[in-house]
Amino acid sequence: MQRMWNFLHGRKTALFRGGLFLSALFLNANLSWADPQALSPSSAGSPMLFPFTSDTDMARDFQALAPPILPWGPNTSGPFFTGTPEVEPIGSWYLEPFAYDFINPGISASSLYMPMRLAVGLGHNMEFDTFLPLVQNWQGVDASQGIDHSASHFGVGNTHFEIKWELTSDADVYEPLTLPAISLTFDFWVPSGQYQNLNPQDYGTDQLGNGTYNEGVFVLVRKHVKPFMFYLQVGDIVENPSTVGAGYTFNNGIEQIPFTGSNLHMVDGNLTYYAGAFEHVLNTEWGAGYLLEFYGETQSGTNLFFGAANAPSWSFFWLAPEVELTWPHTQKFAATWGAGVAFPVYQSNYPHTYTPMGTVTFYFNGPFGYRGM
Amino acid sequence: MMKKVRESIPLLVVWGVLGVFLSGCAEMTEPDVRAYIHEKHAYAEIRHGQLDQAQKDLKSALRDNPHEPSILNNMAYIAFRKGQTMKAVGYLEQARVLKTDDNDEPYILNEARILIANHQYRRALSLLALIEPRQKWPTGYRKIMAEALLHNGQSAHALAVLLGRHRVGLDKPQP
Repeated sequence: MQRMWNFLHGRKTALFRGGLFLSALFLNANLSWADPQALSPSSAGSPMLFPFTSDTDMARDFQALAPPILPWGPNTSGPFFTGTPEVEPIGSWYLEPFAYDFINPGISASSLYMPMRLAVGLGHNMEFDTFLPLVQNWQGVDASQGIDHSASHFGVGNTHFEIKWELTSDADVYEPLTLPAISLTFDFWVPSGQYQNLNPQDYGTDQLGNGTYNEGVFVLVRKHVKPFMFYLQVGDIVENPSTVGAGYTFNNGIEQIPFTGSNLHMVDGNLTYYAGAFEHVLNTEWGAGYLLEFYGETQSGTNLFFGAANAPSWSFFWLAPEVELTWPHTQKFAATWGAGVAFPVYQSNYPHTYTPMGTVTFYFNGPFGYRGM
Repeated sequence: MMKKVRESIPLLVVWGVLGVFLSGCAEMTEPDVRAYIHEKHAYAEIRHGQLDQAQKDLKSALRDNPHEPSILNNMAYIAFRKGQTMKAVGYLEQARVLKTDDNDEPYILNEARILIANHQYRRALSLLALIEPRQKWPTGYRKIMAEALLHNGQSAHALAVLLGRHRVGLDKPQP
């Protein structure tokens, strides 16, 4: 009997103790932080059977930390002929009117070329740009060429569309030997500018485009090395054949089909485009700085897809010092201003052209800011 | 006189542009930039196990920017790997002093890891308790906190932490 009592009492005590422990464990977990006893997680019989590692293993989780980002990516006007590889972030866009005044002192003629650029960030490292150029041509009196009255004409030139695809971002804006920002652009031109039915009395000023559909591919590179930036753009443009007529001036601006001439199935040669710039940002907040840019184009005697060209081949190389400033510069809106002059360094079968230039860019920044920030 | 002035204008322009350009070159070696570059190199060296070289770079970084806690953290990392435990703790204490916001969490966790490895459980717990009242716990916090609590005999509290129950929530008055 005593043994039975002891057995039952033992069972009751064990049950009571077990129940008390479980109650205490869960009640304590919910209601209080009182701890009944000190136990090591590794000790036998611990109620906390968690898969803990040893103290030494836990120490292996010690983390070395990467340096915090030290950003530098001022919003500047940038170069005139060289593109920027960084795309506008999604939700951001900008409007950029340019003005290039191509002056030919020797022949008293000029052409004010004003592309209105609209760039929209598409996300996924893509950007879509359109360039709608406004053109103002002027021809002065030149008795040596039989031009007895001046003429001018205003209109829309060839429209240009571009899709930019950013492949890499600048890996480090302080070190020169790191991966730069690189992008590819796919460009298309539509001959929206007048090039047929030209009036002899306008002396060619009414020609606002060269009449070809074009396709181009470019590689754009930019490397920041604070406070400098280096830009490069190289590309190839294929100009599709087109039928041009009397009075048409070829795209070197020199040779012309006589007004008495007949129509011509024109094939332009392969057009190579190259440009690069060095930029020194003197003040990051104000985007103030100066640039030295080079720019050249070469049209060969053979079209990449359409065989031998019958349009003239030509080439030129220019150098352009430029200045820039950003004002105002708020988070949502900024305007960058740029001005410069392109000087002719070399030309072959191309006019000796001086080009004063100006631009302003109106940035409307979305939640992700502006390009390259 | 005027002729001499006119002749010297191009020279002045050239020297002016050269001066501006050189000032830009000087900007490339600003202390903050130097510190950043040294720290970046050191981080890469740590990842490749080149601790001595990393230590040299971190010392250079610290000279240029003594207020950057991540440099101190990585100095602590190297000291710890070399077995200099208390030196490592000292670096992390300095790092925490420089960080007054919630970004001090990596430093707290790292210091606690060293202390636990060095069997200083009570000190580790008091350090980790700084994070407990915060609304969001960093990754890995629950595990290390639970371990510190268990080493201090607070098993119920450890269970609550593992279940993700914030003490701050329990203290809130009930409606």
